[in-house]
Amino acid sequence: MNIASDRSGGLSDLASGLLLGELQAQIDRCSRCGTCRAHCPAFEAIPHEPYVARGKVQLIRAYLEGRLEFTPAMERIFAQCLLCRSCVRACPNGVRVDELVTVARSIAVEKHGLSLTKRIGLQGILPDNRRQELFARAARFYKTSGISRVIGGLRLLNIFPGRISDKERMLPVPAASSLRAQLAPVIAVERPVARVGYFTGCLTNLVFTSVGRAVIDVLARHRVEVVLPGQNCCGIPALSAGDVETYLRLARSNLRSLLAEPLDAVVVDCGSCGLALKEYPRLLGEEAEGLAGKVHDVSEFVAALGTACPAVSDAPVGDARRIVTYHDPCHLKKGLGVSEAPRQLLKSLPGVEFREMAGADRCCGGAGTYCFSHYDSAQRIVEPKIQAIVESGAEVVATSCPSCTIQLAHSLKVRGYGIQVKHVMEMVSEAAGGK
Amino acid sequence: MTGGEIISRYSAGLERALVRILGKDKVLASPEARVCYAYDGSFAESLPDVVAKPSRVEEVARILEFAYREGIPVHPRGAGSGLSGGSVPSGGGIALVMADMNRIREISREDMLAVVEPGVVTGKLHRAVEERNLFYPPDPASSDFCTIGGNVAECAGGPRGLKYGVTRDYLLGLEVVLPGGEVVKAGGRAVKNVTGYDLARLFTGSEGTLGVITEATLRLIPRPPFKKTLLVVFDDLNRAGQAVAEITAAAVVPRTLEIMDRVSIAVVEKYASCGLPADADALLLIETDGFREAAEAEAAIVESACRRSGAREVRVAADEAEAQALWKARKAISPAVSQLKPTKISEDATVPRGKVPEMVRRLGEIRDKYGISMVIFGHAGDGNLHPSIAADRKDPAEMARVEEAVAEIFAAALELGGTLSGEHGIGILKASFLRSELGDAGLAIMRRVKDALDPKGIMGPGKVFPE
Repeated sequence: MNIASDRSGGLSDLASGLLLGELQAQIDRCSRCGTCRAHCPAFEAIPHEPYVARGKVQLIRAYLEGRLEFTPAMERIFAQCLLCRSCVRACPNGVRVDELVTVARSIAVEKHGLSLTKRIGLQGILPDNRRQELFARAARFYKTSGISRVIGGLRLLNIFPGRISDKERMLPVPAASSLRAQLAPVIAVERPVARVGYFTGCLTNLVFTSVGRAVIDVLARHRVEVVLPGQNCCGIPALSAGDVETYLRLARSNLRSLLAEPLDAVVVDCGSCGLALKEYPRLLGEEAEGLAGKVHDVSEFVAALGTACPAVSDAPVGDARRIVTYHDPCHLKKGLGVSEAPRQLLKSLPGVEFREMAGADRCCGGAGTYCFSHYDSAQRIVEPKIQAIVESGAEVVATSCPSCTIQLAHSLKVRGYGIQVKHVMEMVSEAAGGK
Repeated sequence: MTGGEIISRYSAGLERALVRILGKDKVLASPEARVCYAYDGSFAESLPDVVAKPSRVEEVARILEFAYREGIPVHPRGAGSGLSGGSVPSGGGIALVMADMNRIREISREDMLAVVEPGVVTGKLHRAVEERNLFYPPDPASSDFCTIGGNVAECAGGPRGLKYGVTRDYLLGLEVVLPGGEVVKAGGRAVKNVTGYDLARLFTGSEGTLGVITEATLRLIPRPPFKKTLLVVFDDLNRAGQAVAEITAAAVVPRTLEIMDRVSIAVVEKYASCGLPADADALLLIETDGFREAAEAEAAIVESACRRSGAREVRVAADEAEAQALWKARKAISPAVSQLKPTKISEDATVPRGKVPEMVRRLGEIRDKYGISMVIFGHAGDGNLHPSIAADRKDPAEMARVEEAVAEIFAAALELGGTLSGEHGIGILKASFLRSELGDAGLAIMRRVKDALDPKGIMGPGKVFPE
């Protein structure tokens, strides 16, 4: 089949330009065996064939062959993908369903445009650090001042379906000031063993600033000099929404600033940011290869230095050992292939009794904005995860992704569990007597 | 049959009638839903007019009553993972998706059986019974996602068929809804049962052409306590075939005895990289099981039989994780064939055990003669080979060669005393060959059975029987 002849007018730039050659090959490689039915979290939430990876591949195929129109119904189906890559990893033919879904979403954007909310969020706020901070400040005021009760009628989160009160409870409280505003651009150490750039990601910068401080603390204890280069959002929220233009703008800007500094490595504390940086070459080509090779998840980087932390003593911190389990963020394990390093770090910590939970690498349903935009589905997806956490007996769930953290912390809390969710680096920093 | 017509041939009345029976949520008629229930794991494809997802036997009965009255085709479907088009809605009509009837109703240790709804995923049943130290042996490669209903309808087998038999060997009873809506119980809970005709077996392997399975009662056995997994490497595919004959002659029955040729190894290693030796011409994946002493003694006999046949190397899986990695590779072969070319034709020709070396040799000749991309793998131990061809439907010259090659594969299997299909079923894809195996008389009697149970021919028209 010749795509161009069937759908010359119906393809987005992403589909027709950047991935065209591969698009058809990916679709052809899907043998429709159904393996993804055992792995797709969206299908678990909505057990209808259109929602499983195989169904989505066939929908795109039908569209390209001119058998289906790209209706709003199609758009809703393609919105039900967490881009977790569970199917990609399980697929005997390595079909990149995540990319096919992204292409479909970019077609949706081209055909139907972005919603006003998404336009404001993705194009107005996301690319602009100053506006991000203003937005975070407003959100903090909203969450902490009690005003949310007064103006609950404002229904800010009404743009997403589901109960407003639940989503509002899930919304994390942004920090009083952003991480990057709190820190000098270079955190110098004596006789540094390496000089790394720290790509903080938006959520660590604005919300989970303690994670960022833990990352810097641990790296400093290893005598690693940390640089905070100029940076924007990694772009993955835009790409996930099919807004390729915004994504490319952000990617190019990050590429410029991250390559401008002489750095031994670029570390990330979020699997999704890491994956985004690593995969810049998919759409930006060779110019992005230089950066991709330098990107490391911080736990992988630290584990490679030999110990969790030089200052960690053998004596347990405090009196009791805490039972800790680990949740694999999809983009970290299924995207970047990092799963041993965080476990290795946690197991090496005094005061930690590590217990593996069942299905540690099952998607938790967080997936960026998915847990807000598809709250009920996300809650169905997280259910077995919560059970596994509880059955492990853990007091703390460690993970390496702010989105997983939001979803897990909220889901545990609304079910009445007092189990904490922490970033692996927070655990390491605390064990070292952190700051 | 790419079903280009998205316009339904039945009126909107069909959708309304089904909504009256099932409610709005269980009836899907959108173009998107219809596209997604048009296929299975083969290359066959045909759009249903509407998709119905019942969750109770009464609903199935009312659907079949309605469909029979109106003469609308019904195509029962589980996970849509079949390899012969058995669930593909040839000629349109209702795709009857049984996946929502997915409860394990009972696992009885006392009676050593399980009672399940048709939408139960086979792997889920495996895990549930194994937790109780029981065992349900049939294990199609798709067991992580295929369903029991489909397994019964196609009489699924799998690697363990060699020692333990196939789905029909574990079937005690069925509940089936007939065209017209009558609910029939066949067989029961007793291991021995000769009261009347064996109707349960009649429906087993009937590929949805006689009725709709709504419940199955399955026999369980004790879980074998120990298992040993061997990977045997050969520099010559024919020697591997010879080893299969040697093992059979040595009078041991391994739990599994799988063969993979060079191309199979290459396609699975591309994405699943399980560490298979890339330079081998063929591999045998062999398991023995039972009590430890027995399994180890059998493994030793198997090993020496392989060495006598010229095996280059015999590896023993060090632990369960290593064994599972090997099985992951084996399970990936069939889907991975479409890496070679987009149109995958999975064959299933099966020969008597002793004829495996001869069949392997002939398959190699057919591959060379027609210059086709074909992988040879399958359950060598029980003669159930899966020569799978990768082609491109858009290349008519190639497809013509493939057609001839397929006909020759079938002819070879029949000549060696075998059959067209060991476990995938005839479905749509092999219907035109049915007569060559059954002959006129055999085909006629099957038609009479079909006509007796489904006089209007609403169940899976276009399947099994040649047009």
